[in-house]
Amino acid sequence: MPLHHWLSPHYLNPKTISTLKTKFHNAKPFLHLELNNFFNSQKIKQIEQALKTESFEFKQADLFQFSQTKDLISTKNKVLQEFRAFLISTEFIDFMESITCCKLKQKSIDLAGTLYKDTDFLLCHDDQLEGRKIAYFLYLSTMKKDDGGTLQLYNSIKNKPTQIQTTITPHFNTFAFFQVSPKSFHSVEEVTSKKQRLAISGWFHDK
Amino acid sequence: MINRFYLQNQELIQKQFFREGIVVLFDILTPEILAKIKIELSKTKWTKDHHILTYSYSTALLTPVIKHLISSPEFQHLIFKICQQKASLFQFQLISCTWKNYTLLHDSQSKPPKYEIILDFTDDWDPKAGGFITYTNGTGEYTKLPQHNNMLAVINRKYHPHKFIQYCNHYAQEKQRMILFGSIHPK
Repeated sequence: MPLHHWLSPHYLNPKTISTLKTKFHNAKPFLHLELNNFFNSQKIKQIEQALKTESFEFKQADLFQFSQTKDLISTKNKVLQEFRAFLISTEFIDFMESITCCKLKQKSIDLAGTLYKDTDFLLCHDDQLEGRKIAYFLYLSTMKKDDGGTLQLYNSIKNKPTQIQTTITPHFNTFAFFQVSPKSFHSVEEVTSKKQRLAISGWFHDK
Repeated sequence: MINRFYLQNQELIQKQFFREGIVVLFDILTPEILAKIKIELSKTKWTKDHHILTYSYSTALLTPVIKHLISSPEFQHLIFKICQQKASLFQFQLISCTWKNYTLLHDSQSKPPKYEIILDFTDDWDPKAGGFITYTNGTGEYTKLPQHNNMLAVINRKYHPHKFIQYCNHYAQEKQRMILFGSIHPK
């Protein structure tokens, strides 16, 4: 599955990949990267439209409140099936490995749509669960400062979160990811407006 | 200090508590003592406290009228009657929750108290703002306590072992949920 069918041409340049690798490994408070205008503009619009036809289930517990699709491995939508197939393709896994230097499991991914509406949130946690290596987010909405919904990354001392150091504001067609580790503490800021925060997120797994 | 209706119906309350493991009594305090507590709370100095992975709220020292209430024979007799616990040790904590405050399930003590008491002094709170005190028993069943000013809840933690305070969202604005938590540990 050729990368150039899916990614913006900018990300196909070997020099760009080398720069991104450096940026990822120098990122604070833990290894992460944010790639704007990542996917081909036609593809991303198709993905957005396709995701909006999926069924979202409202989920609420002490740690979170948002709506989520089932894992898109079970989707009947061809666009989303193709998108999933691309994410687990050898070409894209190699691309992710070349930036992160992580050995990722082939053909293996968790993938679901998430929808945060007014007052939805996800409190601080580290995402650590056996097999999870890279957490990723594909934003399909653009949020402004007053809308909330930013991804917040925390500093930590001795693997305990202390304060927010970096925030990633969702922008349409931004692909963000971080390495899951004992210090990958993050949260999703409460959405504080009527703007809806739509995204696809999940994890690449350890080889 | 205590609503006379409840003092006259302690047997019924105890039976309900025995049956359901939880009892909620509205308008528990007489208007006079409630007014005194409200005046104190309006002047109370709150201290922010948080541990990101477990809780975020403010605490304050118990006010003189609250201290007087919880040490009164009238109050203690009612609680002991409900719990059928004759000799116990009380521990209290006064907390306040506003926008962005919460407690998570793993904030619960590894061994919860046998019984828990909650006195809610929250005025004019928009339920849309969250902040519900919620108990779970690990089977996916959730019990949300009502948000009501001048309400007493007594909970048998054997049947409701896990507790959290739902995240308080931006509809809280500047308002505060003021709650007195009490634990009963048998001696």
